[in-house]
Amino acid sequence: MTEDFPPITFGPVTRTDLVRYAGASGDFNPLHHDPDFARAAGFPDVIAHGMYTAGIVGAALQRRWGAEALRSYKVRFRSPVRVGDSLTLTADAVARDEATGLAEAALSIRRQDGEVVMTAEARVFLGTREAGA
Amino acid sequence: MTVVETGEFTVEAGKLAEFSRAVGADSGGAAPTFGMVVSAPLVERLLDRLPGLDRARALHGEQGFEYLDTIVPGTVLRSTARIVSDGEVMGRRGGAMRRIEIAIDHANAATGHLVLRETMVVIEVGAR
Repeated sequence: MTEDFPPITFGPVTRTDLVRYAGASGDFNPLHHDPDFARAAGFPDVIAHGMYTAGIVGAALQRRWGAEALRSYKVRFRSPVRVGDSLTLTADAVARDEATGLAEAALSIRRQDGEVVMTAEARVFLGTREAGA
Repeated sequence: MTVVETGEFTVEAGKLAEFSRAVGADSGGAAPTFGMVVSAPLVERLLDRLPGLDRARALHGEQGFEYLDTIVPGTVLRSTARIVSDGEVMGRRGGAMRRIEIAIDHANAATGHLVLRETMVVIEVGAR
């Protein structure tokens, strides 16, 4: 059984988003807020924390499927997210096991230019049809 | 490989809400990636003790979470981070990279039961 997964959009990412994430997470690597530092490291400007992107995507999955539904969530960082980027989350496949009510989703997060910035896998409990889910 | 860091962390309602706001999660419970608030400083200390690692060339490559129980305000987490593997791999562009795999287990300190398991991959890329 394959579930529908309408795409979810994010952004554009602002400097304020990254500063707020730095404060909340405690990750103050200057690559994410200091443009001079970022340029010295070879980037045109600051880039987002990988975990900022993983965080907003995880929160979106939690909103879509419910607070207690996520069983596991794994991400792989592929390319930097920059200030001003808009992101789109799509699911390549969400296959549900009717017997267990568990579904496995393979997810991709792309920038506005189409480049994949992060891939993710999530295991989620969607319930069984009999249970009325 | 027996490099280990442990710590205790009391989960506060205000910290949960602040983190949820930063990632756009609904307030109340823990956002899916909240564990990083606890694990990141542990991993920092772990990496500081690894010989020969140039932190300026270390990138966060992968991150995983396995959810075993809920984290609520007042939960005291006893967390342990350890190096699972540390070795050289070939990168997508052909160069050799150092790949460090870390596992972080978060237990409820009151019950001893695991509530969250994290896995993290740190890549040290070649000198620019």
